[in-house]
Amino acid sequence: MTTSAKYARTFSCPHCGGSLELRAPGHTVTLACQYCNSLIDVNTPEYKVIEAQKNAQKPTLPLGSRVQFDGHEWEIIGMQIKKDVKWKYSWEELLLYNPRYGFRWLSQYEGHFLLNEPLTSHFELHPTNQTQSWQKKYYKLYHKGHYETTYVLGEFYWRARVGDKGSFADYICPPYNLNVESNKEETAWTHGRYISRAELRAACKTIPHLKLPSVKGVAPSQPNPHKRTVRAMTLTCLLAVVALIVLQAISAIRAKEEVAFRSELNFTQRSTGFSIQGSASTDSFPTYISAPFGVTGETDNIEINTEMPGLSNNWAEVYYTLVNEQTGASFEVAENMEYYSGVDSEGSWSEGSQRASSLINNVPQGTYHLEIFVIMPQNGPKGLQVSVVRGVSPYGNFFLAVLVLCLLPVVYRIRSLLFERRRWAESDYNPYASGD
Amino acid sequence: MTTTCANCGGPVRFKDRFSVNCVCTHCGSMLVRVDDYTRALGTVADMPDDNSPLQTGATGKYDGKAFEVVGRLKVQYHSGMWNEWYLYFANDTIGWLAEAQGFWMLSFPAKDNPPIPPLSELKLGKWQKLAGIEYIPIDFKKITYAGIEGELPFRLAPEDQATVVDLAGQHQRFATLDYPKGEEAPRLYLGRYVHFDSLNLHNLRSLHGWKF
Repeated sequence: MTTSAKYARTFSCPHCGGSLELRAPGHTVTLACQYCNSLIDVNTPEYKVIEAQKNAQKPTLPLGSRVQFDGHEWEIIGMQIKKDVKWKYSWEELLLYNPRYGFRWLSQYEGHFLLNEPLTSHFELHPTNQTQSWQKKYYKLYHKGHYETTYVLGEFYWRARVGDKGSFADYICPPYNLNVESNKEETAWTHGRYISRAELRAACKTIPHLKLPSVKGVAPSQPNPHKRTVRAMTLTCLLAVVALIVLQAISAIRAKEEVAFRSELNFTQRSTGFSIQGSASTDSFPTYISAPFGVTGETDNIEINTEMPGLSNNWAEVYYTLVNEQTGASFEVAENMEYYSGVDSEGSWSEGSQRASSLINNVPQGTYHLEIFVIMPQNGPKGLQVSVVRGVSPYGNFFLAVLVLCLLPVVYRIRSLLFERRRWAESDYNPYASGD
Repeated sequence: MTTTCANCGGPVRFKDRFSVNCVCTHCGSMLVRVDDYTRALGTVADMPDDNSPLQTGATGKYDGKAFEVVGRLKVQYHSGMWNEWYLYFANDTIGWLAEAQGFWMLSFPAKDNPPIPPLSELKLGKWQKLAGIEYIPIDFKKITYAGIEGELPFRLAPEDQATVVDLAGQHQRFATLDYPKGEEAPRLYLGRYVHFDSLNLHNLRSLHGWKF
């Protein structure tokens, strides 16, 4: 094959004389000089300047550099900036080229990148009002508008120039997007996906001094980072709840409840099994001391149950001290008890309880006695029933854990929803917007 | 079949029995085959440079059938160029592999002479039945030939012009209608968009600066 001097691959810019090289000869139709921004027609054998561009803008990734996507190498050959005519925001489109695999677009808006592939099958799309289905995925309409090209640099396979106008629509199915652009001559569809910072950095690893714009806000097709967390969290919590139930069941079956001490204490007369410290006559609130009792069993907790059948429309504060007779170690428990009941226009009512129980952990085996000290009004109950139980299978922590495990996925679900609301906040088709 | 160039007398070999046109590799003359000798039609313009990974002599497979690239047309329209690679298949049929705007389209001359609508009946975006299948015209181009290389299955002069209509159908279907200017009958080609890697190509051109 012979190569002509015409349609040259390397040449001098007919406007500024800068040395230029075509990166996609055979495809490229216009080229905007990287030195003087003049737009050059390379579709005729002798290259001519179409027009000069005044402003100069730098592409986010330099023209001529190579990036890696989808297992192939791509050369960045062109860059254009487009503006939404109504909302005045701009985005950048980098044209990527590979001699075998054609063209791709790397578009950038507020630090978010999308990799778009031109589709051959635009006719397979079914245009309905606000969704598009393509290859078994549903894409929701995010934005419709009109664009204008405000800047071009490098090579293009069509007559790209400043002032190009058309309409466009973006559809999303995160992390994927479908985009359609129409102008007087054609309608072109592209399909793309959101490129994470990590993937972008890996794709650009051969570019020296890579400087990427900082990421702002949430992009339309940005994958929701909480969605996977919600799913994983829900599953983890569900498994944890199941595991807890199993553990609780095992512990309940294995727990051997053993009553170490049970007695009835009468405040007005001497109760068998209790000695009194202080005098019932001089001291209005004496301390009752039980006879020693043994605490055995492998489980190391103790539950103290209190019942005051005489407590009625009154209150009482019961203080227990469990004392180890061998070591002198003591464990303290306080119960604030109150019980009120009555009858009103709506029927009978009651508040509080005549019963209470408290759990103490890490109580070693040994001989103990219980000291009881009660504060209450003079018309308080005449006595109480107390029992000390060893080896109780506790439920309190279990229910708390189950509650936390059920709430966690809810919290993450809320975070995920908040992300979706931010995603759609800029859209005219926001499904979260209140209808008015 | 081997014969001699009508212009320089150098040996000329037609790889493909369908080939009518050929460019002499020695002097660049455009030759037309007349029985078993050649006649010179003039000299072709030099092929404009491009970055195509294909070249004449490349081989590949489509639909299980082996082919060789034996010729090329460089087609020019008002805003660009594309390559039409002429394929000669091992089962003695011909095809075309178009390389345009980064897409690859492989098509065959329609069999059994299906009716071809006049150009005036085709409209952008209006479905059209061709050989029993619906297609939609996606662009109309007035074309000339900026370069001719190797063998061609029809007689073509460098100054020839035509109007071509590209059409797309479902499932990556692709069709081209070629309406030559002058007296020749329109031609219909039917095929599909194809992925470069699916063609299992060998003996490709090495491209400076590119590794695959």
